[in-house]
Amino acid sequence: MTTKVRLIDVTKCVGCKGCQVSCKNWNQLPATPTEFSGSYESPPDLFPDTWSRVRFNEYDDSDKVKFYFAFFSCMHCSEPACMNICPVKAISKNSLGAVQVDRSVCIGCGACKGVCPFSVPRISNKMFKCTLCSDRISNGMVTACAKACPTGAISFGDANDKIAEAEARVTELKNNGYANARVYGKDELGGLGVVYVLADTPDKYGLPAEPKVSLADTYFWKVALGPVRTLATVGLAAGALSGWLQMRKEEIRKEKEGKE
Amino acid sequence: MKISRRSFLWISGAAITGSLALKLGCAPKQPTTEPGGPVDVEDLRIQYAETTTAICPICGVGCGILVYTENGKIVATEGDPDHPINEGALCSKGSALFNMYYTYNEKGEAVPNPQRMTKVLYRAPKSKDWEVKDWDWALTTIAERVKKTRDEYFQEKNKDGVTVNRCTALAWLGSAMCNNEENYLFQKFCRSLGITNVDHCARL
Amino acid sequence: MTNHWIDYKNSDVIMNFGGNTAENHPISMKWIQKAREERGAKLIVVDPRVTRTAAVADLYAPIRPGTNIAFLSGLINYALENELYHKEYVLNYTNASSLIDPGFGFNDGLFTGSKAAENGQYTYDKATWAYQTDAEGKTLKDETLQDPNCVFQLMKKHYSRYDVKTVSEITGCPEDKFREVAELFCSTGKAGKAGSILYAMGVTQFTHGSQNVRSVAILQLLLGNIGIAGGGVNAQRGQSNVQGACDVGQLYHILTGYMPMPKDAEKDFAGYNATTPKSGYWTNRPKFLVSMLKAWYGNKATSDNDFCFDYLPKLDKDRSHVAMYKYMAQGEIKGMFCFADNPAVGGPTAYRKREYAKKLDWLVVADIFENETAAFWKAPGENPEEIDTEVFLLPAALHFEKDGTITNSGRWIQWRYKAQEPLGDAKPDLWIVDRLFKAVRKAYEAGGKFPDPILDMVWDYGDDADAVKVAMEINGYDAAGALVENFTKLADDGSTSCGSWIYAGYYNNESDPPCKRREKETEGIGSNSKWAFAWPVNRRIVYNRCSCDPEGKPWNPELPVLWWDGSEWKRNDVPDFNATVPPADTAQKPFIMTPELQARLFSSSMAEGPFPEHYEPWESPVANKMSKIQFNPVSKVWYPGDNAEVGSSEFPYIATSYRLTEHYQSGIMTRNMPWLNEVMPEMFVEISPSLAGKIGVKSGDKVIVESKRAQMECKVAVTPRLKPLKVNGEEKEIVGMFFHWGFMGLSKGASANDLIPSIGDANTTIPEYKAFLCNIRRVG
Repeated sequence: MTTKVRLIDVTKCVGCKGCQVSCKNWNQLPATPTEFSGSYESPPDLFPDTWSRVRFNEYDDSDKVKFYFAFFSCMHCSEPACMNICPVKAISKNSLGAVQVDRSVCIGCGACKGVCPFSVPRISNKMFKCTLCSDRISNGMVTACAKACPTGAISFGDANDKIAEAEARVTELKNNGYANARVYGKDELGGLGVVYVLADTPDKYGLPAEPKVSLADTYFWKVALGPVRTLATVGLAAGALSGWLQMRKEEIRKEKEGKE
Repeated sequence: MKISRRSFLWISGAAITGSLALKLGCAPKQPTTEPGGPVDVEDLRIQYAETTTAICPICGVGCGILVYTENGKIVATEGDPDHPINEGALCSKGSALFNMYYTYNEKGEAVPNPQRMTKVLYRAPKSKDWEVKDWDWALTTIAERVKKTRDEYFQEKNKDGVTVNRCTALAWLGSAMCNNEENYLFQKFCRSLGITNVDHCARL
Repeated sequence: MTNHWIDYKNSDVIMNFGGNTAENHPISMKWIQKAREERGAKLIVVDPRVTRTAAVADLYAPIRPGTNIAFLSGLINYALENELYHKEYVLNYTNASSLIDPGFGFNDGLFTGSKAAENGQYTYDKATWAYQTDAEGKTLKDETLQDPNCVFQLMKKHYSRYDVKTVSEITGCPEDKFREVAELFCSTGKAGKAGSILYAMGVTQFTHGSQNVRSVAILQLLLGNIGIAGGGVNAQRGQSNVQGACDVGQLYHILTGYMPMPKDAEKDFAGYNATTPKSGYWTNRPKFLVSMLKAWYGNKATSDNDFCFDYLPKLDKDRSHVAMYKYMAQGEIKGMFCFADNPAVGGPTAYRKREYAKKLDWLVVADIFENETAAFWKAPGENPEEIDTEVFLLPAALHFEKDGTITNSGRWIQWRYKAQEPLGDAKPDLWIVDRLFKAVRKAYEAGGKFPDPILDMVWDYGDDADAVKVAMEINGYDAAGALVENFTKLADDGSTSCGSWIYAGYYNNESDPPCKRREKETEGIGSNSKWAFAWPVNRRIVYNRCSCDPEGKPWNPELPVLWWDGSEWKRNDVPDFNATVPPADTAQKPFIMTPELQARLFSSSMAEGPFPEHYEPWESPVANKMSKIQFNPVSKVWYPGDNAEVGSSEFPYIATSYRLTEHYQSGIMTRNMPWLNEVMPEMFVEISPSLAGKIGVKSGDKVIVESKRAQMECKVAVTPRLKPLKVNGEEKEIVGMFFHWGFMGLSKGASANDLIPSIGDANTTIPEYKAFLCNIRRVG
């Protein structure tokens, strides 16, 4: 159960990317080198130093050209696959519902990236992604992306209120002829920490219609990471591991012991 | 105006009057109590910063900007929530203003934007490079050039004997990026020298 | 802007016409969104392509670049023919009933009084563009609007030619789309409804740009949309202080506060004052001029010496940007200053700005980054050893490193405080100009050509120039020597001083100057009168007498700007009329700045004629459907032969240029900001899938785009957001391009402005950046 959600109403978004740059600004992220990708969308994906971005999609439907914008970042799932797979338990969820990574624990193995149904985590030695600006939120501010948004396309608030707002907006859109309008994120994967108001089907915005945590991926990562997990849990010193990993492992062991 | 972060955070929307310069001793730590339980208040990186109000230098909307400084250096910028036009919001350019002053290097450290002009540069005729100069030299040399050109081409009367007091060999482009007070002095400067070739990017 | 950004929330229908609010003024979408959510307002976008604004619009209509007058004239005709105009408003507040000289007429593209001139162009004798007057010189009127010589009937006749079919054939906008726009926007032509037109350079950057603006104004007047909350002719300024730079006179043809520059023909002070308008608020001009001269020349300015009027240079001819550069090419200009301006990328036919700079003896540039204008001698292909120009590049402080005000599009003058010291040797422009002036004055102390205007100039802002001291000089002082309250206190006898009369009041006291005020409105119509200062006299909506009917009752009681309560005027804004008298006295004079005191549906002040008429751009794929006059007959042709012929097969595509949200103007600021390069890394042009098919390219491929003047190489985006338009039955493709790139900075790229013609509007000389011809082909 998430308590706070980020509501993205794509029908209000004007694609200014204030959110995208504001994220970099607040989180002190260096620029990611990019090249022209054929559209206004840039970068073409998330990067270790780019935690959020606006997706641009264009459709030529009969007499109307559709130009869709949709903010995209970590969905802060209520049951995060990344958290469940993490071999060193570096990923957790705080009481606001934000999925957080503790980079002092993270070993950068990439398991989280492999299982994420939205392919959000990025690895550069460690895992990087949206923090839901928990530093800001815990100080009574809204996320940097919501703060920047001029049109109210991104807002942040209590889950119940935001979902009610989204549902009311979808009803309004349906009444205005948007037959495919829907709320996205309320029920997906047991409820996401990001809820969308969509005027069209999710795939039109680059969102998976039915996001799934792939069992095959989970199995793969469990097998691939089995030894790491074992080592980490039991705390065996393995000569093959780097000194760095040993140090990390030791810290993790201590933490585990402390908890037990 | 310097305003406290306290007013920015907690009484956003209320009017801030006066011009108190408050250096924040410590951040107002108010843990949020939420249905999901209390949250640990994390350190806010601007919590000890001074706040200065400014206006965005980009388009003609005139959005309010809060500029955070520590030890006289800008550490962050964001939209001013008390500004009636933008109410804290900013577009991509407005959100990027910090980047004009500082950029983050690969280590994630803020360094002055390496592209910025920080020295007086001079390019001599036929030269392939700039030379670094000081202000005194530049001001004196430019004044000499101005005087030479003006003295050579100044016209006191036109062919009909009308006093015209102009120098059409000089030209001046002012800017929509400069302040009113600056453009006003540009105007005084130009007209006192008799410059009639005066324009700026409004024409473009 | 007649109104202001927050006032967008009061509109019922907002038309983005020649502007792209979401991309170029994104934050104002907040107020459009509010109007839609709270009032059910509709957003119309008329644009050659589906922009980010069009993406969220209720109604999008395409238009061929360069045909705005045809489109707007079509709307005007629709309002007139279907009687959708606001009759009481038009009758009372405009010159619709005024009778015009019976000799006035229009035939095949030309108004009466035309005379053939050089390069196939024309000049006008405006004698017949005049009112009929009685023996006392009073304008004759027909309040029934039936006289065939009244403005209203002349308008109907002129605009009846712009029927829906004709407009559609010229503009490429399908007839049904045009009708939808007309119906929706003209629905605001009644009391209680507000329609706003938001425009920007998509209206002004044409050889007929100012007639485009007039068309917007005429439409808004007919619909009763001027002076009311949620209405207006709203020019969205592209730069943070383009409004202010104009207000204090950084233009060749004006002094401060839009007072005209003295001209040779006026001869002297008396001759200048003889051109003072005989009625309207401009009758006060001598007070503003003398006060400016007193601010500049202090005790040296006396009535005996005409307040040093002769110290001001007199203007001999057009010295606007395009003209100035032509004179530079011809060797007349030897030395140039360029502050925070980058014509080598931003100017029309930009490569010529780089070429002509070689003719200068010296060039002084002040900027925050090394721009292309300063570095012209390093441009690709140049040999610096052959370039003799001396260049001084002065490091300027950034915006948050200095104090001072800037003025937004809503005329709000806002103070910006200094947050940090400038980096290295960088200095505020105020410091630079102050030190430069002092250095020049010092040089003249030893003598020189007519040094008096320099030596006598009041210039005392401290050792390190203080913006507050300058602000107080601009605000001005009254006869008692105190900061002047507002411009109504200025006099023409030399007892008062004021740097720019329209700014009087913005810094009228030292303890709480209005431009520093930060009190947000909690109730009202969004005026926010205690936030900053709006010129004139803190008025937020100009011409606001028109927000009420002649009796003083607001057309929309729910959004009253002002109202007469039977004994006095109540207000949500500063009245733009004499509010000490009952409404009947002001009902006939709501436009105090015009000599008529009414709005002009017919105006003799325009170069092209009293009514806007459609002419094709200088470069057009088609012949003018409306008349034999192909191109604005009075626009000055600076470079004859520099344009592609009508319907050119060598340059078969329509080209237009515009901006991106992620970059800014000539790009020298934003191309040096890594975050912005990340979100928009490279120069590209946009074309339709059909044109892409024709030339065999896909998105990301390299193309060469060429005009009659230059060519450039860059990448291409293929997008359905651009479509060929049916013009006179033939499909015409459009190539869209951004102009933010140049050869300096972190992100380098081709400059689209190299391709632009150096031809301008006949009234303002703004170049035609928005409509020209090009060819495009694949590289390799």
